[in-house]
Amino acid sequence: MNTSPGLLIAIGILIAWNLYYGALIDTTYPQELVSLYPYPLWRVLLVLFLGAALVISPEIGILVAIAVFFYFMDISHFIKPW
Amino acid sequence: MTAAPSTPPVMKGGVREIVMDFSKRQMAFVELVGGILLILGIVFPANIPIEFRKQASTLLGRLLLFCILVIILVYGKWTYGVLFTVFIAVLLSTRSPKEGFTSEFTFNMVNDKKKWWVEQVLNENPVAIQDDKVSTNAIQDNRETTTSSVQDSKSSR
Repeated sequence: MNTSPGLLIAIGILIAWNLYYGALIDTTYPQELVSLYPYPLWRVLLVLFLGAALVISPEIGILVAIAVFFYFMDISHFIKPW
Repeated sequence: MTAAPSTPPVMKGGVREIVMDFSKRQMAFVELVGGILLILGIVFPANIPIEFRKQASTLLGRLLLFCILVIILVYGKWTYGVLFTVFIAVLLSTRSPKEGFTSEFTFNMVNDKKKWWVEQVLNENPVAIQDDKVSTNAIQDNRETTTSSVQDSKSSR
């Protein structure tokens, strides 16, 4: 595993992001992320970002994959009624 | 007289090379098409037919998805495996757009600067709402026994 400081900081930020937005209930996403979700191009860019993260580092990529999944599911469930 | 070689001669060129080269090119093409389909599946999960999602959510469907994931991980790149995992998670978590109160559902984004009084009191921060207009009607007294539709607050019993 590459243990460069930048990679460790990125992993820490992503773990904190996933814990905050994935594990805690009733946490609102930033307004910009919510406003951009309806645009398909934004979601395509996020998936391409996920692919780039997977190529750069497996650890970063898996954490980004979890974050993208939480984001997609939370917003899509929020904007549609149960 | 020389002895026969112990190892069989390795054939180079010919049809074998052509077939190997063709299969490699086809594999790259399949990976490209599969990657694009995965991206589209992750981005537009609600557009996947509901029957397909229902079948994918059954025991057999989940086993099939798991087998496809194992095949991708064995024969393909692991990055495609992670993308396929995200696709499976999105596929199994997406609800049908026909569920809920109405099938034709639209929403409006809420501006932070305009908050209703009840939202301020209850400290609510809605991001999107379904209806931005509410139609109300005045209360009608349709009882036949009453002579007036206006209640007299001063009248005594």
